[in-house]
Amino acid sequence: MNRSFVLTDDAIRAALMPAAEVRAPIDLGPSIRAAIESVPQQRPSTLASFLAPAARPLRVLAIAAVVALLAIVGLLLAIGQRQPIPTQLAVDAPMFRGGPARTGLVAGPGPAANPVIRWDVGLQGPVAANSAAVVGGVVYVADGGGGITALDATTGTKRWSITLPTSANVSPAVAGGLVVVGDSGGDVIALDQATDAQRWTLHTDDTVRSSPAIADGSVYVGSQDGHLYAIDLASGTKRWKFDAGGAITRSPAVDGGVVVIGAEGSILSAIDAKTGVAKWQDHLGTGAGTGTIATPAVHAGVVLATIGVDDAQAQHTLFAVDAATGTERWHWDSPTGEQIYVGSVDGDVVIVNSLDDDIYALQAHRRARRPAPRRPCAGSSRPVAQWGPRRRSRPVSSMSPVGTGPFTP
Amino acid sequence: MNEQSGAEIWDLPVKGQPGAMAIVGPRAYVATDLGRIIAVGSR
Repeated sequence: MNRSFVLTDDAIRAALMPAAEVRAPIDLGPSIRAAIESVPQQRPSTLASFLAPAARPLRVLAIAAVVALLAIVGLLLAIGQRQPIPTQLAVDAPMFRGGPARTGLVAGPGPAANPVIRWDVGLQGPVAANSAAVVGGVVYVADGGGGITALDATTGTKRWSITLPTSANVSPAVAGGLVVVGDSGGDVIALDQATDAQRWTLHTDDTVRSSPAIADGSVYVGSQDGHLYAIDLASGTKRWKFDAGGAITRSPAVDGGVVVIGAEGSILSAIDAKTGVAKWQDHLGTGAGTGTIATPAVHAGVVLATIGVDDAQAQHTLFAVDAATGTERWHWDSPTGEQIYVGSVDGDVVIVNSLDDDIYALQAHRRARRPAPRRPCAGSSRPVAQWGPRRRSRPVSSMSPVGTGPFTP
Repeated sequence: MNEQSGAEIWDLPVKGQPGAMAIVGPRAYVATDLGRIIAVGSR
C-alpha cells in the first residue's frame, strides 16, 4: 500500500518556526518568503566573538602560536641560506650495481627525456671503472689517484675528500655509517660516512680491486692474494677468509646467505656467508682454467656470470648457474665474440652490455623447467631482443639502462 | 633506453668515456675515464 505525503500550507508553517511569526495569507510563494524573513538573523561576527572579553585566553594562545610559527620559519630560512638543504632522495644506491646481489636494479626513474648535466666535478684520478655510491643525498666515489670524495648529490659541492697512499680502483660500499673501499696497497678501509675519519683497516696480501659488498653487518671483498674476506662491518674484525683458488680481481655477489665470487682460472665459488665454508666450487666453461670471471649477479636462485674462456681478460660467454648446486643451466656466447657484461637482471630478463656496441636482452630462466645437462653439453640461450644496431659508433655504456658500463669489474 | 622495447629515450654526450653509473631517483651519476663524476638530470 502506497502512502503519500501532502505538502500543505500548515506543514510548511510547522517547518518554519517560530510558527507564530508566519503570517497569512496562505499563498505558497509569499508565505515561504515571509516565514524566512521572520526568522531572527542575530549571528555575531567571528571577529566580534574573538574580541569579546570572554575570549581572552583564546586570544593569547592564538597570538603565541603565530609568533612561534614565524620564529620557526625564520630559523629554517636562516639555515637554508648558510647551506643548501639536499634534496631528500627516495632511494639510495649504496654499492656497486645497486646492492649486494649485483642485480643492477635501481628504483629510478632515472633522468627523463632531454636531460642535462647538472654538475661535473673533477677528481684525483680516473673513475670509469668504478661506480659511485649514493646514500642520503651524498655521492661517494673512489678514484685511481687514491682519492675518496663525498659530494652533495644535489649541488656537487664537496663535503669531504681524502687521499689514500695508493690508488682505489673500486666502487665504495656504504652502510652502517661507514664508507668501505679497497686500495692497491692491499688494504680494506672503512671511513666515517659523515667526517671521513678512518674507523678501521684490514690488510690483505695483495691489491684489492674488488668492490666490497655489504650484507647483514658483514663486508665481503676479494683480494688478488686469492682470498675472499668476510669482515665485521662495525669493528673491522676478520670473520673468515676463503681460498678462491685464484686471484680475485672482480667483486662478490651476496644473496640469500650465500656469497658468490669468481676468480682467475675460471673458478666460480659459492660460500656460506656465515661460516665461510664452500657450498660448491667449480670451473666455468670448458675448465681450461684460463678465463677471468666478471662480477656475477644473483637473482631468483640463479647466478649469472660472464667469462672469457679463451682470453684471460675478455668475457664473451654468459653462464647461468643454479645458485644452490652450481649446476649450469645454460650459457650464451656473444655472437661477435666481443666482451660482454651483465648489466642487470630483473624477472626473466637479463640485460647484457657488449663492446660490439649492442645491448642484448636474454631470458634468464627459459630453461629452468627443463633438465639441465651438465657441461659441456649444456643448452644455450638466444637473445629475445637485441638493441642498439650499429647504426652509430659509440660506447655501449652510454645506453646502459641500469647503471653499469663496459669496464665495471 | 626503454627496458621493454630497447627504444632510445635520450642520448647525452659527455666528455670522456662514460663508464659505471649509479642511478638514484631522477638522477644518474656517471664516472668517466677523465677522472670526472657527472650528475645528469632533467631540466
